[in-house]
Amino acid sequence: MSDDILFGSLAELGQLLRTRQISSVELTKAYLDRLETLGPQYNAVATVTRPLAEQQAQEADDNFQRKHIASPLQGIPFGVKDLLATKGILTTWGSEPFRDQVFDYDATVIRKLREAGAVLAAKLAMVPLASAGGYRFTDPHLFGNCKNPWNPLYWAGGSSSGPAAAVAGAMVPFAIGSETAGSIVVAAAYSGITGMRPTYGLVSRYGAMALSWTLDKLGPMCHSAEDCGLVLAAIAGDDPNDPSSSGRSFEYPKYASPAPRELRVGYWPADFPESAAANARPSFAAALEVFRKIGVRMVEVKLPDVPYNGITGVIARTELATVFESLIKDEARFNLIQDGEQKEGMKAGLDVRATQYLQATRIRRLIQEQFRQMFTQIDVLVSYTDKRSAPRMDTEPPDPPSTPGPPTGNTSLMSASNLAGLPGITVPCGFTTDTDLPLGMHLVGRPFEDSVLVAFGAEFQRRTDWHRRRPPMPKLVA
Amino acid sequence: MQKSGLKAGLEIMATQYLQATRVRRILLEQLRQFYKQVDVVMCYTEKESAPRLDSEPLDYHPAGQKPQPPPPGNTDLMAASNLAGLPGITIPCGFTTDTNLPVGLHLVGRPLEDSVVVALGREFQRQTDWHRRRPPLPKSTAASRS
Repeated sequence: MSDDILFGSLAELGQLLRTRQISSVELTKAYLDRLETLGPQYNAVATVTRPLAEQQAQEADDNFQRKHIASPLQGIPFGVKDLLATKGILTTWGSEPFRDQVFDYDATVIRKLREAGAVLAAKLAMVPLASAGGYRFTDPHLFGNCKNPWNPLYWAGGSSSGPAAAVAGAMVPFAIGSETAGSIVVAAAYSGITGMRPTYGLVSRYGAMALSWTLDKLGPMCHSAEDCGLVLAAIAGDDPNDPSSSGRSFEYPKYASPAPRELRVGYWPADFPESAAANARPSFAAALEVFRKIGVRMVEVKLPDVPYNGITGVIARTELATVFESLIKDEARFNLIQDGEQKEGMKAGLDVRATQYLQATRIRRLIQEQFRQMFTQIDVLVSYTDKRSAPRMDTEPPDPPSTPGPPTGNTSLMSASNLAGLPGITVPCGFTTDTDLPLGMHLVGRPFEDSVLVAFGAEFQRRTDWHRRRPPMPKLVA
Repeated sequence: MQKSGLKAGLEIMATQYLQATRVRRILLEQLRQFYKQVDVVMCYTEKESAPRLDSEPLDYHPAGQKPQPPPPGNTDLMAASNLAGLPGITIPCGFTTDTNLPVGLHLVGRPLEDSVVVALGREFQRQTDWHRRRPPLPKSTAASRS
């Protein structure tokens, strides 16, 4: 099957399937072959679910035959980060103590995608326990470091590593990742794809590994904003099994959204020429030019000086220690984790005082209120998704400074928007000038205005072709 | 005593607090199931009448005490319904046999069904007059102002 098909958008694949130009069985076989061949080369795959995929593809074809079409995703294969429960199939959470874990039920997102007629082709690699306790390239872990399809010396990003690499390398046309404080959008930006963090409470997390239950979100990782909209429509919605469920749903493309040119877009000009990496600045500058060409009103706004990373750290550390307390106290099982620093990081939350945690949650509420005020003047807030491209795996990524100064401009938008539960989308916006690695812009909106971000991202992608670029990957022999 | 009670919370670890909130959520779910079979849960408001002021009340705000095994029946309804945020009403239902002090019944309903406990309390009070009894207060003189 041609690369033009395999790297196609979900709308294109759906059209080919519905008009019977290709069958789901053929399409699924092509992706399964890539998952089995390229997956191991990039450390992108946990489990290829070939027998299930073949069966679901056949069912999809039968339904096309009967002119029964459950959703625009019918017959389209996908992969999920290996922290979503799949009945009877390994769900390892990327971590040794859970390497043989099998659940007897499906996560809500898995169920919804099955009901939409999509085809589960793979469980995808992830950073152990979604970065609980930290992550280092040099320590041994279940899947190895996930390689970036744009250059395998570099990391695909994380913790949703496999979803990012597998979509970038057309091993699946879309995937589901999870984000606590940047794991979808940063991995997507590093791998040159479009990733979306929905509003907290829009997508049920039932059956997903909990890391930090007041921060965790599940979301789509795709080639384009429109694809993210299609997938979000399938996975969003109320679920009594997730107490954070807001009861809201998301419809695509049937939504009313202001025309992108009518949006007021907040940004801080100095973010891009000053704090971004030198080899990334031209791409970010060009992306701002595209915004201006769309006709949006650019408004200079700046996040209040709050230690966003510190607050996120207290909440995430404490909640993950609570979630994993029984593992931490089971010495034999805990010691299956070989990364000593990860274990120390997981234990750190046991030392947090309740008053400290509760003060952090009070500050978090103030941050939400500040955003509410800020979003009376703007509709979307933008900054870069990360100030630099993916790090090389033979060098440890530079740690964030231990005593971060007051953030300048909106450079803390990643942790601030995750803390506030705001939706965000990253769109590819170019490549570094020397290493030719992808870069992304991060668009953040009001709670439950996910559709505004999809519409704005789609408009950006009508005027650019970064999201259609394909990485230089090895050819498969037919 | 009060100062050390206030300070005790500083020693609570965050994981301990969060485990308590997780148990609380489980309780909520259990009560949701429970209220499929009943509309109102009832127990005494307190198992005894008001304590004398000249003796330390036993068991009152037992901060720092060892956790006791759960008492039988619904005698923990006060703590359980407060934890779960359920509406409750207490209605006077008589007097102790020796000290002639009031005792009350505690009616607890589903979240936001406050009207149900009001209605049941009103019906109870149509059939009783405990709520109309008046305490033996000193007579105030007509001239006194408050």
